[in-house]
Amino acid sequence: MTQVIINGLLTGGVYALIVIGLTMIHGVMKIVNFAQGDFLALGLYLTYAMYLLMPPKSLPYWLLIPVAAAMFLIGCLIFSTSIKKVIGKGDSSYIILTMGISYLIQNLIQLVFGPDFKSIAVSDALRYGTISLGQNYLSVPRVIAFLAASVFVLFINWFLGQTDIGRAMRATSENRVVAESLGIKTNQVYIIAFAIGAAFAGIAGLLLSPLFLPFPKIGSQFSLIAMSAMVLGGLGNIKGALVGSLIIGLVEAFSSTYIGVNFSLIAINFVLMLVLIFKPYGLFGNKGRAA
Amino acid sequence: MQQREKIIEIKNIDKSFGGVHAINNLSFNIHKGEILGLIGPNGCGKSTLVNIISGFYIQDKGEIIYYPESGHGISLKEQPVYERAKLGIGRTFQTPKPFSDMTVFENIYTIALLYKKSFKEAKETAEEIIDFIGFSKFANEKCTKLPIEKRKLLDMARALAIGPKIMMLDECLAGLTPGEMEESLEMVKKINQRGVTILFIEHVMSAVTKLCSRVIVMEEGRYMVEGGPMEVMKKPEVIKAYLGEDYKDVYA
Amino acid sequence: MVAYITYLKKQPLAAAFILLCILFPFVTSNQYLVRVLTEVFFFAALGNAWNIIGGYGRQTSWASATFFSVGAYTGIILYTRYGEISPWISVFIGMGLSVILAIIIGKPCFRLRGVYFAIATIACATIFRQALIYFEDFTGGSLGIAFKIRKEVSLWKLSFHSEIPFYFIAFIWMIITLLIVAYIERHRLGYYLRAICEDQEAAESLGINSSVVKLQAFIISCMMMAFTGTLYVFKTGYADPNTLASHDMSIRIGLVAILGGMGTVWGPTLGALITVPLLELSNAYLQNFGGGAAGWAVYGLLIVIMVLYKPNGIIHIAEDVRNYVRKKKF
Repeated sequence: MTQVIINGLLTGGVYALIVIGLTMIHGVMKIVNFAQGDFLALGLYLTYAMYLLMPPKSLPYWLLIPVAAAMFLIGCLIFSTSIKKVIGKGDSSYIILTMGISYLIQNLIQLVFGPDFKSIAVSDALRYGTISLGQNYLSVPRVIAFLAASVFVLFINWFLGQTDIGRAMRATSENRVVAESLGIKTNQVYIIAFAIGAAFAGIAGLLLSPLFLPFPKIGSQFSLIAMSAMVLGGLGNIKGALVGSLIIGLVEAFSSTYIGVNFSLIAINFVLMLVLIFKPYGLFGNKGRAA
Repeated sequence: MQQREKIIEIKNIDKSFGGVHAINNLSFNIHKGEILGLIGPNGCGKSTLVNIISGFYIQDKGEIIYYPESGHGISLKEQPVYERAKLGIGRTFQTPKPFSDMTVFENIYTIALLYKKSFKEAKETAEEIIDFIGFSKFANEKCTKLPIEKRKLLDMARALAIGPKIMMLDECLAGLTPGEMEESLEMVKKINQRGVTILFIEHVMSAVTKLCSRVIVMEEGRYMVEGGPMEVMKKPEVIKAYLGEDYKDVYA
Repeated sequence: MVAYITYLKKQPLAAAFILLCILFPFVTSNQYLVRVLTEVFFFAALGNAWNIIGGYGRQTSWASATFFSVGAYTGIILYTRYGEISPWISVFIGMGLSVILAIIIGKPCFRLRGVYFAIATIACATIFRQALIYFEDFTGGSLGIAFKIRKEVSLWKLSFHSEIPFYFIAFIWMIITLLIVAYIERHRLGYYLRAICEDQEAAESLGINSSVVKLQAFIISCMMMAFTGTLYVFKTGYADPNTLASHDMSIRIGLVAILGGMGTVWGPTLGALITVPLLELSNAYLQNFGGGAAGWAVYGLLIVIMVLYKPNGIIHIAEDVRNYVRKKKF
């Protein structure tokens, strides 16, 4: 049982990375990015592609900077060509746009890489390596992913709290009009927030690359997991997002172990539905007027 | 003072938002058929009260009792917003909220459909209201083209379509020129003459004086004083609430 | 009846389209094209159903595939396992089930903001698809269920030798869905939905119960999708969760309406006319360039471009053209 908890927490920690990106984007520009999971998929595929250029059996983690940078740029590109035009235009516009982008990315990936599962040929030592902890074991790639994710979470906390841009972001997410009147360049804030969100998703993809066999539509799965965690924690709430991802990780671990691998997706979505029905503003969200 | 029939009884209402005590033990009555003015400095809780009566907020303490017919009173607490409208409580908003993509006629027709059994009746009601409000010339224009004073009138017209017993007008004169204000005041009078009680929330004192037989003054969420408009506005505590200590003799 | 004839007189394009569709299978010997057009009709019908809640109501639902497959699976299970029950009967059972499901999903979610509804529909669709795979004894799991080859010709059992009967069945159903959408647009539900979209607070303050209105629209939409699903499964002869109940299918259905024109009567039909042949063509001719994926990528790109420049859909380009032509005449 402890093993299940450990697995769940480790996975949840990595999910935190993609959820934080989603939460930041929503917090700052009030847009739920339905393509966030596909940004993770892009990170996975970029890692796969760049990995082919590296000496075999090396660690994929060396690719962190190029993948993060590439995703940051892709995020800027996507934002400036499309997302920025639908900010403030109502829910259905951005839902359709980001779903369209998700669809586009998935099919572009399939065009370039083909529809089959790919595998990043890391060494077996990495993929199957374990560290033992008493009666339980920790899977090495999961631990590395969890630690890296934690570093980034701490980074984003520092960024939002201590840097000028970070504070500007928080101000804009509170009240855009007031922020603008204080001289904050909200357009810059938006594009940076979105690009960071994309980059974080891409990094999560890289960290998960030894663990998953990517296929073009894998993004949808992660989008759903990310949105579940975000709704659980309360839209726009970073602390909540963290707790949400850990809970989702645990739900996944428990349901695949005790009920069946196919059931984990049902379990996660079931939890999501329960949250939407009983606590729609999440565990930490603010109550406003309903709807 | 004759004992007039109540339409709404506000009893010891309390409402807080987080740390802010927006309404504090507020009590007063609204009488059937009157135009009651509700005044007070910004932030004193007037709009919050309208939101509570119409159902957008629920009071923390106290009761709101609504008397649509003589004798039989309904306590308003759990009813959602749309149910209160169905009971005959209408309101407008500080910033007008038209159904922009629809024409003027469609705006009113949509609501009339809710309250009339046949399409023909709804159409007749909508046309009657458009006539009454004076919008016949542009009944088929989309609301996006309407200037602000017409949008405010449209809000009132739409609320008329519910067949209200009481209409709460939240600063319906804000942003209008003096000429436009005259027109709107005329309209409010005409609506009242149809038998609709009016709760008139305003800052424009001349309007309040012209229209209201009685005025209630609020300050910081509390009931301060009530009376005829002229007498209330001369009271020093009212002047102080609006303008601060130093201002004397506002009405020379 | 008179109203429809006057409509056709006023809208020559619509009349021409209907006439062409009726004549088409008799002037061509290419059964493949007939099949493609049948597919267009099915997707147009699905798009029309989606349009009621997604277009007029602006509540984008991504669970269309769920209701589509409720109809499909009901039809095929009742036929193959319970003694060849006719689709004309199982269609009603499918619709009944879809109503129940629509209430379960809709009631809690319509109280919340639009984006929560979208997320909830994705969640429910995922649960349903996984359930279809999980309960394999009943549903055939990932492999699905298929008809044995049927030799008879029977309208009652929807079994034919040529493509043409299904062509006309799909065509008639598409026309019926168009009529349903047109009716809603001109009557109470349509007005209330538009009011809620424009300003839900104002609508509520005037007496409109937005949750109930949205739920009504959703139920009608889901019933229509289930009906389409039952017809569709009898045409294709098999049902499997990864095509019929997939997230992909839900997106395709929504995008048909979105691309063509949300909140308009003919929008989804136009959308289907563009996208179904697009996918077929790229499947057939772009094999070396990724086949279907190329088509879908173009499709996705079209959506993105459309949202940015013509968010009301391609059908409004037709309006722009018409206005331009009118201006030029004077």
